[in-house]
Amino acid sequence: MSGSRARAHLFIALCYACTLVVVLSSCWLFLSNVDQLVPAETVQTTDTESWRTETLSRRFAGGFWEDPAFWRSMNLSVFTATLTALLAALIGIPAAYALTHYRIPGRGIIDVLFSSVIVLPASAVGLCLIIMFQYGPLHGLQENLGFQVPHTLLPGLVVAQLVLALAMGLSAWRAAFAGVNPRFEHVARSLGSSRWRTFWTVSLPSAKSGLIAGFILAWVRALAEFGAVLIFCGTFRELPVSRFPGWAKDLQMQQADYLSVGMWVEIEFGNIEYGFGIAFALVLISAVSVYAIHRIGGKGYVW
Amino acid sequence: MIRVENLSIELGEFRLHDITLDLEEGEYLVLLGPTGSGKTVVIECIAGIHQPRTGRVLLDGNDVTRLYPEERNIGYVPQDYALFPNMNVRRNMGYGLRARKRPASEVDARVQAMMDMLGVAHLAERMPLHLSGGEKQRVALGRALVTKPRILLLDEPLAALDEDRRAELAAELRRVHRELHGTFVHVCHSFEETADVADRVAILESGRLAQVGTIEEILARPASTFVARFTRTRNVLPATAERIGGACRVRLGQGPVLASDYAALDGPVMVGIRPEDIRFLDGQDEPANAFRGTVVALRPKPTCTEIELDVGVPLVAIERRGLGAYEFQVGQKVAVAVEPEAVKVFPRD
Amino acid sequence: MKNAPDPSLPRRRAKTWAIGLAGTGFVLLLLAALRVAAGEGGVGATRLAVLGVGSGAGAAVLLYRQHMLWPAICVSATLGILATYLVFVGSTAVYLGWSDAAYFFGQERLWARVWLTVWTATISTGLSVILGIPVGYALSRLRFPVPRLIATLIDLPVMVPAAAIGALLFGFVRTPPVRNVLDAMGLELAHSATGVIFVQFVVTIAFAARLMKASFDAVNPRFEQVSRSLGASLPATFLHVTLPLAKRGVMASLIVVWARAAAEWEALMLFVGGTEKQTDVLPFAIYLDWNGGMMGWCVSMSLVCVLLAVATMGAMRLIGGRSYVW
Repeated sequence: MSGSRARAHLFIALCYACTLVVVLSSCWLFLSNVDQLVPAETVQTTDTESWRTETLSRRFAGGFWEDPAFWRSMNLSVFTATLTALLAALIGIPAAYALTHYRIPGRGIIDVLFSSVIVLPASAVGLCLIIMFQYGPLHGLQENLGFQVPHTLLPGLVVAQLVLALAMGLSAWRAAFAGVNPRFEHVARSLGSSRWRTFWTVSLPSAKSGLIAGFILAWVRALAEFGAVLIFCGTFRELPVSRFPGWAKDLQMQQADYLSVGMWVEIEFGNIEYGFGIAFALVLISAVSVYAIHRIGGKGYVW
Repeated sequence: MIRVENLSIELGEFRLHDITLDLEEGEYLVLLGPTGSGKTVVIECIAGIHQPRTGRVLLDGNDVTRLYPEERNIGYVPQDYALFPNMNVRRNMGYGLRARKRPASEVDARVQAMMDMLGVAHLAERMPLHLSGGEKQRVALGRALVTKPRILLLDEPLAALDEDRRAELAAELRRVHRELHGTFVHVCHSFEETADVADRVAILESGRLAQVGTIEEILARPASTFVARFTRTRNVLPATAERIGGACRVRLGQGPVLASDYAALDGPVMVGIRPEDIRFLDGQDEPANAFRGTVVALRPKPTCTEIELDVGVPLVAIERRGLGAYEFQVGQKVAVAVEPEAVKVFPRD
Repeated sequence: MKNAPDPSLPRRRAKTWAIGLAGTGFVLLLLAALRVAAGEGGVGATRLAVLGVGSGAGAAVLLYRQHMLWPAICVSATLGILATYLVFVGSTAVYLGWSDAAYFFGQERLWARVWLTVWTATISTGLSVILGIPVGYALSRLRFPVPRLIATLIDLPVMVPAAAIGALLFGFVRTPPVRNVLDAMGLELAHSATGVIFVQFVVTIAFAARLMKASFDAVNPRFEQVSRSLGASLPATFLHVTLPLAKRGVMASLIVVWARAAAEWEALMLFVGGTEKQTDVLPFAIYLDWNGGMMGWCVSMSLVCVLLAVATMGAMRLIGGRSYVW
């Protein structure tokens, strides 16, 4: 009896310990880098930065919060990520509803294809997007209609983020709809409510928290996108101001990089503190969003 | 008024076979059957939630089989009531009228009248989460009735309630049915509950219709051993039958028993005897169909005592509880008799 | 009454017409787009486009009058995503072409990279599952103070941009507890396959823990209670009851974790760096070859990645995994 008790305690302790290791590692992953924010004394300004339009003094976290380019990046990232999440919701919520409510032939294959996007490498996504828009008929279409998708703020950035954000959002929205008792809809329709009305008055409010969690998930995923944006759009910071359309200037988004891409560029070019400053900003945004998702209690399928 | 014709459907493992049902205006029909017999699927087909594979649903002579639920004007109260959690009681009840785009004043008036009739007016602003089972049931009932549906479908409306609330709400259902002259189809799995409300009963056995009729008809003439067992015929026993003239003689245990009116059967059969049809003999008279045996066990119930007998075959009889009724003891020798009319003979399953 | 006409006939007819009209509209728009793409725009293409939009609108009106517009919108959204996905993958396949595909798929270099991806992902999956099972069990069955904060901390490495994780790993391996462990084990992370495995492990452990939690959540705790009431100890119960019952979920999670590990790139790029035959797992190799301008290589490898993703998800569906991640 006492042996079994000891074994049970050992087992529970092991489980707690493993969780503790993971949680502490996660904390440490972020905390251990705080010293990167403080510049080393000996660092010299190098030529690799000569393309910059502003010169920044070497100080805590590169003083990124005083850099107008950082705030332009923030504008750009939040604006496009929100746009992406909205677009994903506009397409993804009806699609999720169809996948949970209607019998679509070949649904198994559709399931597999949609979920495969979640585990597609970002580099493959970026590359396939480049091929899709730069080669073949879509390229001709862009040329002759006078717009461009790759390497643009809009729609380029949004397209690059949309692929993964939509896949993630779709899985969360499907879980949200699957969790709604179908009887609500049956009753609503037996009371004479059309499908459209039933969706807005019953299905949508019942699935609300899951749908919001899915929206946040899509938004975070869009903001966390790096690979596809890097390959599909690259950087914008070194481009002359004249290359940006009027609305981008009005919204203060010209000559700014997507936050994650900007971080990478800064670190690659030796502006370590500044890069880590952005990284911590990104971590903070993600942490708040993930906490919000857990708070709302959203779920997401993987398949 | 409503007619279900040769309805068949397959849902995963589950199948309905060739269900045909007729309902008159103002009738209260109970669909009775054990769990998994398909009674819910039948009313969901009537409501339009499932599309039958074959067969038709006719409402006032119109084929509505392929119509959407919202085009049928049918009231539906599902088992868990499915009150919309995002609306209060008043909005829940007004949902159907608002869906029909009625003016707000009319919606308010009709909802108020319905709430008054069901005695839930004081709950108008409450959310469904904070209602008791009985209150939920009334609100769901009112929500379905406020649109004046041609027919009301109730899926196990009393199953989620406590024992003592059940009788009260069954009476409420009867009252509403009487006052509104509505046509109700009520699904349930308990014969006692059925007897409280039904005009007519349709008994389902694993996707097939076993018998349709009034309670009296079913009690008097169960169509099969399944129906007999389901309607509390406790004694269903194997026996052998032989025909003699207009009657049928069945060999059961100690000796032959007479059964009237089951002339067509011969050979191995099943015999059903309701416990309340077994009469204890106290005198010396020796009528037909008499058995002698011993009391094996006594089981007191609220209104009667169940007496398990051994008369060569096991038999359950009941004795009404009352003042002055004589008490049995285990091991006591007794004599019992059954009227020939009370012996039901069925083919062997 | 017996021979009453089927009232659903107009609806079915409308449905057929609507599908036909919508299909025609789609084809017309496609033709218009192709004409524009080929540089033959002008009046003809405009006319085609107007016709296409018109027949689509006609379909919408028909469906609206039969109360079928909303389902049609939902289903078209799904089919639209599907079509876009097929164009997305298909254009890449068409771009590569048969002969090039045959050439690149016959190359030793490609298969070496596939093999590298497969074995690194397998090892890192094994590691994260070994750690993920107890963590998932703890998250599913045991109680924690501040559960949401803990859940957030566990999930965070999945939701932070992977590139940021790559950057943050520098500090992680440089500071005492982790550095001492790595030194003691003699692991060299930069420019080595060990580093690849390490990075894959770090980004998938959270995923694995989440999925394992979901698998264990799906097991009714009553089975465990019964098992323990019958005298089995907690570890024995876990081994003989919980784990076998959660088997499908665990297997499915394994596959997803593997696929996720095989798709890791951004953190590798910053933390490990590219070395031919050491760290060039497929996703990374795509980027390296793209930078090197070797389109054929990276397109063929992208296709391999797509196939891997579809195959793993197909396998998962066959196993019947249906796990919630969040």
